[in-house]
Amino acid sequence: MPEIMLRRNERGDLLCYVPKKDSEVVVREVEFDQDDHWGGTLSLANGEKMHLEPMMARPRLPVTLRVRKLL
Amino acid sequence: MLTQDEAKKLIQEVLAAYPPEAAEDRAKHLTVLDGENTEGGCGITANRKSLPGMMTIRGCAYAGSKGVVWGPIKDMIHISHGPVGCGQYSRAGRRNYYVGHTGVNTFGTMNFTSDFQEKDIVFGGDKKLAKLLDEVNALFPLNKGISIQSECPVGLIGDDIEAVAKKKSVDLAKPVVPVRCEGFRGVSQSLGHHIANDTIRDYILDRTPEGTLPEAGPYDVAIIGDYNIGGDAWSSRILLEEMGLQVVSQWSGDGTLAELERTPRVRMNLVHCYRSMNYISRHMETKYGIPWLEYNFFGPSKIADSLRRIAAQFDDRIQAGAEAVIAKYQPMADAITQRFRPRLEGKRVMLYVGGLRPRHVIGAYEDLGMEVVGTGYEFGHNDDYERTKEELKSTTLIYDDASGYELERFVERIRPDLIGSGIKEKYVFQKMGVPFRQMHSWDYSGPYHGYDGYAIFARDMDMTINNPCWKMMTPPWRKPG
Repeated sequence: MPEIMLRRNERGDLLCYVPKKDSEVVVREVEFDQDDHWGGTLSLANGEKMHLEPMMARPRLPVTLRVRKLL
Repeated sequence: MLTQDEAKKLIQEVLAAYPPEAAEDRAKHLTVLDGENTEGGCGITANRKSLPGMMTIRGCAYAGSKGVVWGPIKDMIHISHGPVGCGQYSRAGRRNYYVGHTGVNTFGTMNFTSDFQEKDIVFGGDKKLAKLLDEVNALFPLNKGISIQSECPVGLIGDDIEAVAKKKSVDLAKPVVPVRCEGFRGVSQSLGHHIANDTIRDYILDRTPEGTLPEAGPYDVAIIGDYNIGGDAWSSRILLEEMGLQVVSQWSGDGTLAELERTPRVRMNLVHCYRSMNYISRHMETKYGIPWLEYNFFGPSKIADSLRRIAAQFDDRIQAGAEAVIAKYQPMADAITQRFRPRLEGKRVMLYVGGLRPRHVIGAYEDLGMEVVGTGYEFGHNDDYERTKEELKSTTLIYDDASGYELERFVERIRPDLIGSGIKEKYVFQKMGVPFRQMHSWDYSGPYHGYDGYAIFARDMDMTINNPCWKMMTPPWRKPG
């Protein structure tokens, strides 16, 4: 269960920072992207996928979350 | 001009000299990028352990912490805890300028060390450290705090510097910060930056009691990750102040402990060196809700762009201020470009440095009509290469943690008109007959940031490339017989 930090850059891209790897990657797609249902599979620009338990509301960024790495 | 295919062939040629396993590993660190392929990752592996036997030019965690992040904080004493060499050979080499009376209220260029001897290794150095802290505080009573920068042996023998620091911090009524930046940690100085950022968070920011800091003014900002090399932070700071912002804190060039403590009460953190200070910026964003913005003060195009981007985060007054600053300095910058561009137009540059420079200075070279044909980071991570990709316009060779051999081969084949790299590479390339600028501390020149810096940057590049000495030497491969 790696820990990630999500934030937005000036252009509005969602960024996923993995402190353990010290690397930041753009999130290309969030599976559920609604105000009352947010999360699911995060598809990163480098091809990795992570699973985030869907939340009942959009998180206030920046936020630190635990995710599950999908193979 | 290097074409994509030529560059790929060059990489294959260089890799051919390695044993198969090493070649396979190194292939992941070398690539060719052009300005176009912006989708997907840039496909480079970074921040990995250097292969044994490689002539890497990386530093260590101690270098990242003491040399980069902590060292420039001028009113604190930074003790190099361990044998004498680490501190002495890194003393004042980075030219982090500051104002103050050295040895009285500022200590930037001094070397404090616990000078470990055999008995300290055998019996532990904690007692010596405690004594040293008392001594240093008695001799230099105007210090605002002390940081203990661990060298390798401290970690190897398992000294408890945290306990000493905790006790002495109470005794001396000053922050005493134990930094576990032993050189063997991590793969390069990059981990040292991270460790140093974390200790600033734990021992400086968290130490300040809630509610004791003044409220933030509407235009308070902090300059993060500008180490004032040759006066860089000063030539950046005046631009921000002229456009109406109030710079309350400099991290960490010409910075003080009070400035660090005050930073959680700024409106925005302006980050110049992303690599070394993104950690603390992320922390302040999460804990105090302070947004951060990366900017680039090399060369007039990037400066104008950065000033506008910074101003866009504030109100109309600042935006008007930014336009006024640009209008004021642009004629000066244009005059410099006009003077030097004809002498530098079309020259090709190869860079191999650390931190932010492999991407940030590209704009400044382009302003002078020069082209960057190769660039690479000593200790960059993937996000650095992603950011680099956005700056590139033409085909560029990218090398991560390049070895001495690789760099020399690349230079031999590409024959650039200028190389910008570190001190260790300087004389190799000069002997090869290629003009060289030491871009770690601006070849003892500077500042290079801001409009004032651009004038010096342009002059230095012209001075190096068009130096008559290059015509007077015959490289070995041109000598008859």
